[in-house]
Amino acid sequence: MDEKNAIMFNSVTHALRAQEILAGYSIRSKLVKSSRSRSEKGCGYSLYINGNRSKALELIRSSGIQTAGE
Amino acid sequence: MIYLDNSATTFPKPTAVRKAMNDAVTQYGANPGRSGHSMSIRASEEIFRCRSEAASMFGVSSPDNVVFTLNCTHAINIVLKGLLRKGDHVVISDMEHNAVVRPLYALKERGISYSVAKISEDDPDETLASFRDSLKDNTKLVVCTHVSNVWGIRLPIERITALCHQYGAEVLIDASQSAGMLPLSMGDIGIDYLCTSGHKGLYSPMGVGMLITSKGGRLNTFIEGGTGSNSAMFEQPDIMPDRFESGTQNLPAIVGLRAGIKFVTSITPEKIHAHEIMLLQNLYDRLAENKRVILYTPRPDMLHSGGVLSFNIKDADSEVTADYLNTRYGIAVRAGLHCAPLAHKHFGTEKQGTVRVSPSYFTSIRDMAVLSQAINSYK
Repeated sequence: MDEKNAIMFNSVTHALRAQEILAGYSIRSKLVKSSRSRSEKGCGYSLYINGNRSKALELIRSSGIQTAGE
Repeated sequence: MIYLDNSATTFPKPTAVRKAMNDAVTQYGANPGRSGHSMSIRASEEIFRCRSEAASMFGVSSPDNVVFTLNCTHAINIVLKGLLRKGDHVVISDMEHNAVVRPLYALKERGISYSVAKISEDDPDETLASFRDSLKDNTKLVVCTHVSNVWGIRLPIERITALCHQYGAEVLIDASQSAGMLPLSMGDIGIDYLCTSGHKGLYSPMGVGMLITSKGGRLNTFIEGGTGSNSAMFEQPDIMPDRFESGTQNLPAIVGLRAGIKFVTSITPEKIHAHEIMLLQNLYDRLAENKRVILYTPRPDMLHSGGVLSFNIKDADSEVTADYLNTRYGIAVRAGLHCAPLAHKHFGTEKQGTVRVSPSYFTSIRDMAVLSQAINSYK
């Protein structure tokens, strides 16, 4: 998985909510634990986007979901 | 056994609830929101699905606003201890459970005061006036049960919430006796904090409750710990729901809660409420014919009542009556003060207590007939 396609979240709940929203736009993603090198605050979860990451990020942010490390 | 103690906890639990819990324990019982392996991710997804179902049921826009707690008492404590500061005033009804009264009593030491509004069992206007008269300039919060766990009296929370907001106070509703039975859309009613247990009208196992609010950011925490998020930081995360979910969550109970919510939704709360009221009306009418039985509240109905009815047999100790029903007839009811001494003070039953009958969707009309026959046979 290419880390450039990952969007990070501090909370697994936020990551799952984002995944659900993206699925509603037919954007598939995979939920994984964020790599230690990427997560400054410690443990978090990432969505690896199968598609346009910028569009996914825009959809997530417009839904009011907090991302991490952007 | 004829189980009529569903206000304490519902029994039996639906098959779907038992199966869901069993699946969680046997198929994916990893710690949710901690690890990255498939089983932990699956567990996280199941927790999230329950959050989403609860958000939908209670009319909140985001699952983030659903916090899983140990029980309703825990949820209430989060709000009271997180929100109130020295000099704040709280109004409660005289139907409140010790889950509300005891933390407020303890908070008096921190300079927080409270007043008790006497409700009317049959006049909502009088109840509203009582709340209005109890509000002060420094009233920060009003705490109100939706349905009394002793008397089944249904309070007009929609009107109480509107009134309190006019006076600048927030509202906490204790929905432990009404969730799954009465309409509770937070968005429609404007409730600020909804606290409920999972194991009563939502048919989940014991060990899970909920605090539902979009105002979690205003509440200080009194439990801090591992949340599986921001782990390198010593500060408790300020993101919802993590902020209030330190420690390992009760995965089997939460999964069971989701199954319970789906069970209730599939039947509809209205049908469940109608069934319980029908049973209690049947019982009430039978008991009313017995001159030795004391009934304290009006005949139950859909508008004014939840699924609870209390009575006594003359001046018999309520615990003696309950023991008689259990020993001689295998009927399970709860007697005494039901952790709600204020509610008993309202009707003057502090010494005697009452015998409380609380059916569920699984209770039958035959159960009511057997109970009334048992009461008629009491010597």
